[in-house]
Amino acid sequence: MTTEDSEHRYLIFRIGEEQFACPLLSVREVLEYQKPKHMPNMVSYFPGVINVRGSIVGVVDLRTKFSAPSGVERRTAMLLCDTEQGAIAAVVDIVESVRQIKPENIDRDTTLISKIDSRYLSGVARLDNALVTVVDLHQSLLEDQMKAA
Amino acid sequence: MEFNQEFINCFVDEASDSLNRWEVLCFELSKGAHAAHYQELFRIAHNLKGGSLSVGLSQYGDFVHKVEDGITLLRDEKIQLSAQHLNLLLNAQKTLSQWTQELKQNPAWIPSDCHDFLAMFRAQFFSSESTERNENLIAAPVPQVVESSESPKSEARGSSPVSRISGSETIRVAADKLDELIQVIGELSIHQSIVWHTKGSDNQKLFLNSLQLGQKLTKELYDKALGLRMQPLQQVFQRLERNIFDLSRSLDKSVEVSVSGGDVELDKAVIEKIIDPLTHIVRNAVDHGLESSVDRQLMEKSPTGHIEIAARKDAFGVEIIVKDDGRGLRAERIREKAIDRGLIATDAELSAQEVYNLILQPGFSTAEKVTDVSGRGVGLDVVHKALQELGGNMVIDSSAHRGTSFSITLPTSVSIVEVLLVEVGDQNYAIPVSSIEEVISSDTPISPSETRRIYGGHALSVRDLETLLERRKSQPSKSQRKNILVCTHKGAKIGLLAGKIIGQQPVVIRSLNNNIEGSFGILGGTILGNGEPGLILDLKSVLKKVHREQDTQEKIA
Repeated sequence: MTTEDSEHRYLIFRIGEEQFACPLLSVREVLEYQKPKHMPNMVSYFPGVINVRGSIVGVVDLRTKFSAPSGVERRTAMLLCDTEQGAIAAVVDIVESVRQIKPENIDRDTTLISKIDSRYLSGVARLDNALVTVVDLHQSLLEDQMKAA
Repeated sequence: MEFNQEFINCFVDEASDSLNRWEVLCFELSKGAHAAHYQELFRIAHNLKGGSLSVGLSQYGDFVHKVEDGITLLRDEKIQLSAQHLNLLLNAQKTLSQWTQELKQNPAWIPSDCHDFLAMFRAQFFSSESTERNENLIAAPVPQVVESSESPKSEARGSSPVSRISGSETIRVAADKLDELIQVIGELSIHQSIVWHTKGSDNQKLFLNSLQLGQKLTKELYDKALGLRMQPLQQVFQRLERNIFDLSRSLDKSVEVSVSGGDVELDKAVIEKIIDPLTHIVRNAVDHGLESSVDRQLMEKSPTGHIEIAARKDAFGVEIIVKDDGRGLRAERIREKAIDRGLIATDAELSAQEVYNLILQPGFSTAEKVTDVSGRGVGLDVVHKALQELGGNMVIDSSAHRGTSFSITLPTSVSIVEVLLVEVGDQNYAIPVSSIEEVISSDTPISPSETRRIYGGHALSVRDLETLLERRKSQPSKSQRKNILVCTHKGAKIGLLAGKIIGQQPVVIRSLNNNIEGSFGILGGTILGNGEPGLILDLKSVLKKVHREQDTQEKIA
């Protein structure tokens, strides 16, 4: 596989009823859900921290952030990302697959869509006759201050 | 020329040790010349020469060779040691130290003033050999030498040496420490075979015994491994001594230094970070603390000033004391200045201690003249901040005309703390034991709204820890509060309500990522025995907040 191919590979995941895609290379690994340890005085979508092989990693519940219900089920997963500010684990409902999406199949016009803040969006893609929201995962994890204080 | 960096690095390590010894010997010589000192100095120079030539550093070898010639004269008593000679020997050491450090990056590096220095060195040593000329004549060019070799150096001192040390990834470990470590590892492997033998046996006692042994060995191994990071303070003290030595000469003050506790060990990371703060304090002491010899005699003090540098280890960490017998802090002047700067109100009532602490405030300097040495207004506040970052603290004590002492307390290791695991609400938190004074246990649950409690005949103001931490929760959890953690903040005792005490254990502090670092009340994270992440509470910041709230409440009332 060439690098060009991998650049066009996206991780497809689901939050609530909606399908999302993010560049595969923006995720370091997919983790099984583990209950975060609560941290006081953080914003609601920051449930706490987890232990990833000896290092302490903050968790962002993307579902809360994207205003979806945040239950925990068997397929609930965490996407571990190395952002500019260190590692963050993002909670999503289901990780579905890794797919190629050609740039011409992504509509970069982000004004159309969804309840999600347009700053986190990079476009909408057509995939198997369905529409998938393409998000900038790092942007959505870092965007604002997690500290409430 | 081709250099083999590996050989050079080896040489650099060796040379650094030799140059350290060289410095020590110069101090010894300044206290009184001794034939044995010349012998050793000669041996060191000789080894340096041999070592450098063998790794292909011909210029370096040449330099040392010429200095060695001078030392030979001293050794063979052809010339008498003068203050100028000593100065040159120390400057040679300084130049070589810098040179040695530079070799790590660039084996072809040569100090720019190398030739000038050698010319000066030869003139000084060999002219006084032929004719015992009067010192004034010879003294003339010397100050130049001092400056010319110092000016490029002082630039370097500003930034590079410290960062360079921290940049290097090697650590020198005493061989016996390694031996001890290997011995424990040996025991551990024996223990493993013991455990193997208990496998399948029904002997409960045997099993428990080996479990206990395993626990003991793991702890020992951990301690020993940590010990590898510990370095003696000797190297720091030596640098301080050198600083005092150089400074007292340039200020023309007579200073005697006594050093003790150089064998006390601190974490390498801490050592590297306290060098600059300590240097600052010591330079301050020489420049501002000690009076000139004339002034001292007027005060009926011995004309020679005295600076004491001492370290000792206690249960909490290490205490380093820098003490001078100079003029002491002038509390009145500090007060005036603080009022002048708007740091305190004109009618503020402060204890002597509080007044002294004012000099730790940013932008505070009472020095009348701004000297090259100190008094630029950036000073003790930076020192204070650096120490706080290390989890340390500084206490100043002073009395007029009798001197000032700076007492610095530091934790031995920055990465390990002893914590109490405490249940707060439905969470367990780790709280550093050092921040808790005592724990009061109650048989009956305490109401979270309780604010006062009589304890030991005194009223203790009490706050609910969970409510303090979880400001966003409207309702405190129903978990029972059965313990009061008593802490002191700004001299006042405060009790914090908490749930069950789960235990006490040492934990390794792990840094939190930028995004969550510095959250209110959180000092850091750790991984607990059960693999869960744990958060270490910073009671100090929690208490500060309580204090602020109380203040505002009082103002409203």
